[in-house]
Amino acid sequence: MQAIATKELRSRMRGGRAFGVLTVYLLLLSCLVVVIYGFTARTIANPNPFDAGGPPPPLGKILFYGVTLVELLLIAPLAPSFTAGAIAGERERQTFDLVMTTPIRGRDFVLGKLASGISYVLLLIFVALPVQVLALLFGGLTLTELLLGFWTLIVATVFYASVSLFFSSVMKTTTTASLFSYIVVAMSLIGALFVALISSIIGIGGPLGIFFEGPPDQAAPKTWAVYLALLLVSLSPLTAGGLTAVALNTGEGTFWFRLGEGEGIPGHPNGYFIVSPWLVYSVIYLGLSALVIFLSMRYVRPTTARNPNNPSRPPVLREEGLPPPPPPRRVDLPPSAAQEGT
Amino acid sequence: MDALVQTQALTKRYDNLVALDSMNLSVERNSIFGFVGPNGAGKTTSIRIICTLLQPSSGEAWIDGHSVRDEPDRVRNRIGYMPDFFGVYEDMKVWEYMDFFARCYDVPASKRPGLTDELLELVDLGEKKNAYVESLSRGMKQRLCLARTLVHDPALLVLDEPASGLDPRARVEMRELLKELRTMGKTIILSSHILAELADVCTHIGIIERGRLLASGRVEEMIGRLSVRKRVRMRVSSKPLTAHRVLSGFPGVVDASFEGSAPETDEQPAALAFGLTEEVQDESAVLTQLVSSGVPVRAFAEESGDLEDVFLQITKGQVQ
Repeated sequence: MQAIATKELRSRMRGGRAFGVLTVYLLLLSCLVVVIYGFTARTIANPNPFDAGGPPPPLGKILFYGVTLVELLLIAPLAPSFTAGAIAGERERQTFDLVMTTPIRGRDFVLGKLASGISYVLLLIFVALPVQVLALLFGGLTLTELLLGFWTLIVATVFYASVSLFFSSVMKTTTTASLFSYIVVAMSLIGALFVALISSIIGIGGPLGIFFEGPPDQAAPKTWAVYLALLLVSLSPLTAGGLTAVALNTGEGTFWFRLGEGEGIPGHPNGYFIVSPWLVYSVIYLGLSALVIFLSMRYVRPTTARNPNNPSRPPVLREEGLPPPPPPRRVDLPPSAAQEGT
Repeated sequence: MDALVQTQALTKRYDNLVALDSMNLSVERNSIFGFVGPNGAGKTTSIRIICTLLQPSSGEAWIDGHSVRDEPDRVRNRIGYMPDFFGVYEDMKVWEYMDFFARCYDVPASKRPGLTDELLELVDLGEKKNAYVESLSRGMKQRLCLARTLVHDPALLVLDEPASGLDPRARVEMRELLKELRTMGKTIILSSHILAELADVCTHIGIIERGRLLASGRVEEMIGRLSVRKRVRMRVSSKPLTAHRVLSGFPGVVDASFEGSAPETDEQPAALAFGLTEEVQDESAVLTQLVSSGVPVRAFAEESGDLEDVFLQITKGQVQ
């Protein structure tokens, strides 16, 4: 694994490309912080005359959530770009066979590729740390929110990189692997919008409505429907992160909470026991990542040992005490060929 | 015979296509074994199975006593493989390329720098150690790839078309390198469809066509088994038609023909060639007969049969 990761990182960090990506990324985030700060500060300075008063908008939170969201949207296309070509590219460059004739294990090969791809994206997340931590200076942001924001980004990075690596191991070309990877990434992000759309269509009385519009006034949603809704919202880092933020800001627990507690939902006086969406999202994404990494390891090695504990032996060795073999055949000139030559 | 490579009824099928048909092969230790055959004959398929890159449909292959099917990792440690078409990591330096493969073979870190220098010197790339791989010529890349195959000191080198795409000088250098590797105790399997390439370097050959190994053995033995032992080339100042008639009637002379266009009269000079079977022990008898028939012979030279003759006879002319 170390051999592969070292080689990949050496190649990746060489030249101006890695530095360029890093610079552009930080510039974009810094510009965003300036824009958010300017916009929010102006809003605070000129309160809405129709507003009934109340506390000013939490600048720290707005900054943090804004930067995290943009980071997620930048990481989503970057992670596949580093891993979708990792294995398919070796096939295209005709270097794959060279590596596969070494005793390197499929596991080490795949994990090495994954580690190098992920580590660069993680570098992007960590270099943005000072920009995000700025939010703490403005107050309103808790350490839990900060850590969960990082965690959401890291989990998304692992998942996007793993899925892309899987397609890279299955597909023959980088182009096809990238195409499928971006479809999955798009579904992961845009799928969240569909969930929100479905929830608005199903409406206040529907099971998803309980997450978006508060508990229904009349009939209580079925328990299974509530958990299905939890599953759906946890399928995307956008909705999972968003709802976790909502839960934290309404004073709910970090890991679990009771939804609709004390709101008089018929049949559910204590509300519904809900595992926090970020936790469900983490389990789903990391579980899927482990699955696709395992499959990549299986795909990447073209041959596997058939019977390593009781290997077959060639005729010569069998003569030394092992079961007898059929004799090796001497291949002679075919008689027809010899006749034709005369 | 101490065989390093053995195969038994090795077969590879792709749906209805039989790429390799019950191949039984033995390759002696410290030999250079040339796999000869036209394109699509099954050379690369057998090589890929031996190198654990392809699973056989049936049959078995052992490298140094280890089964490619049951102990692929042990086999990989004993093999250095250079494919016919291969890429190199262009964005790496030459020493990094060597270092990467040394790591893949678990060569201890303390040994890697010295080993890299040693191997680069062997393939005459010592001065290119810090150059980028992309800056190397095709021949240099081929030599670098050969150095890479040696990084774990394998017993067997498997080289698929090692001289393809090389200029004449690089071919000669590659040939000399292979001979040197043999003196270092390596066993080498190399494939080619260019017979002249193999003739000079191989100690053994195996002829494969349409997935079947038609013949294998030492090069001299194979040539010895030829039905036409020798070929003779001669030139005459005149009487070419008489010479042709004499040759055609001489017992043990086969395939007498004019080189170039046949002369129209018996007064023209011409060049002829003919084959001698085992029936003719001494070709001077043929020369005596020609001279006594009044043919003015200017030149008369024998040539031993070569791999090309072997190949043509064995494959019955089904050469591409």
